[in-house]
Amino acid sequence: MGALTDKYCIVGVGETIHSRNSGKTQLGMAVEAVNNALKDAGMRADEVDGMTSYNVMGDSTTTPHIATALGMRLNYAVDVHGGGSSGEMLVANAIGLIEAGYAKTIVVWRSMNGRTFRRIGGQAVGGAARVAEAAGGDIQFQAQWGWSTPAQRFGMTCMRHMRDYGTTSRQLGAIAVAHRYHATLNPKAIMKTPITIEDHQNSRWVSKPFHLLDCCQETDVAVALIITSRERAYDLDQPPVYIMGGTARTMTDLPAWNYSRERIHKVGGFYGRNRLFGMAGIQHKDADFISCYDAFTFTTMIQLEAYGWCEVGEGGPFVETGRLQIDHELPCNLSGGHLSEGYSHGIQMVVENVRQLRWRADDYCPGAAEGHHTYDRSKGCRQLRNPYVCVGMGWGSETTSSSLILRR
Amino acid sequence: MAGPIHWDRVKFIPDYDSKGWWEATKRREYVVNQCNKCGNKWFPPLPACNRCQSTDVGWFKTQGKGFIYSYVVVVQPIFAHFVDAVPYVVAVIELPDANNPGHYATRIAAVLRDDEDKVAIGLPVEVDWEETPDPEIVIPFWKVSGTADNTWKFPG
Ligand SMILES: [Zn+2]
Repeated sequence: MGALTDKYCIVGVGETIHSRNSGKTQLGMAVEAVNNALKDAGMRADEVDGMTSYNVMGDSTTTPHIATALGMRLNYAVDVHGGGSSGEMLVANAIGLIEAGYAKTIVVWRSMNGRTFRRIGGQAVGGAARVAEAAGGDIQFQAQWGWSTPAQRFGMTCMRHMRDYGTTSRQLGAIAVAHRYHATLNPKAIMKTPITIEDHQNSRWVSKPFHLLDCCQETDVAVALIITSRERAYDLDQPPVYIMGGTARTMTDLPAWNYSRERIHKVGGFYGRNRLFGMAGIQHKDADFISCYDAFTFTTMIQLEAYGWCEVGEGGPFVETGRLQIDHELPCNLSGGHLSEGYSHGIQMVVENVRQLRWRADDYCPGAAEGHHTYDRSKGCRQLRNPYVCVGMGWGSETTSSSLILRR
Repeated sequence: MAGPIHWDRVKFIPDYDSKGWWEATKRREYVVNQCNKCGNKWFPPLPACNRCQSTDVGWFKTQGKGFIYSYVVVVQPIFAHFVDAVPYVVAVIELPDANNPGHYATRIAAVLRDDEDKVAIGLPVEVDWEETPDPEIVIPFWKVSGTADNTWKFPG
């Protein structure tokens, strides 16, 4: 176990709805998410003295804007660049900052109009394709190759995995089906219609080997978490969810250079897994459920290999059996994840994991807010029966990953 | 590739680290970075050697021949200059003459002239050159140049 295991907690979570047209500014949404997290925790705005966030090339608002709007006088305010894997990383940062005395209670937030402002791949609003631009830096090569979006990039790694190990598109489809099933139990999810493997196979191609149903949603959303010490957590409204351990943007070479490594599907999480489980002091079998970044079905599958849930090359057969679905062996992304709930670059999965560990998933059960669940999936209950430990795995790219183990 | 690539819709900006590469393409040479101290080779350009950390970096002229290591077929375009080209194949190509035994391979990426039905992992490819409206910018395309045993093709 790490020296700080269980010393810090996530005490509040909040978000806006996922939509395809928020009609709001990123600032307006962020304020709503932070207020919801404060209300959830039972804290006042002036009890927060640190705030951090992540954004992708300025697609968001800033911490000083939110603090000004909410009347917070902060002792620590930093906004960092980066998408997926940043939420878990900022939780790790929050622990370090509180431990070192820079702040006592920290809000981590993300706000994006991912559908109506800047879309994945940098696509312009309303445009069928990215506008003409100046191609410098890494883009001077990507613009020659016509290859830039996550679907195009991760596809290269997936294709080689298929060639090396016999992984199939159908196997990946089982991940889409499982996460969609979870979304049918989530009133907030943007995609609630159940799908089958055949639906997955028949959906249009985006970039082979990826069908449309291998790809995540694009939504407008804001999400916030509140992190503080366990001593402070005891005075607040929710059962504390303890941070057992994690990794913060473990990385190997950037993808275009990683392509020259021996095995291109040896992704970032592979290098972090011993640190993660070592710090938390648990083993895989101790996890009651997981979250695993699903920008694509493939990103979930390859990280299950990387973090050691199955052997290298066995990811396809491992997911194919449906074991990621609720009430099966390894429930994954219980809100529906990026494939079906909506897209926030990962942080919404921390929210879901916290609610599951409080035993208060916000599902269709009439008494959900008080923790009364039927566990009847046919009636829209998605709360697991009394889970204690969750392993969350974030993904920034093939070669960057963060992770977070939580317990109640 | 279904239609043309509109190179006039993008402006390439070579920089200090990449300008030697762009100058070589005008000579119809496919080069990769090479460490002047230890001989290590890599691509895309970076200003230091990842084996010995030297910043004395030069260029290695490859034969412009390799084989397909992986590929994707882009169906939904994102770049404005590629909107009429879909579907097209982008490949990761290994360059055996630039590999570093005991260290990394040297693999590049490129758009292929060939359509998906002609493409498979393991097939040999060679460089082919594409001029653009900007005389300073010549783009290396690659094309399938033969056959091979043990190739693999995406079944979807
Ligand atoms: Zn060297």
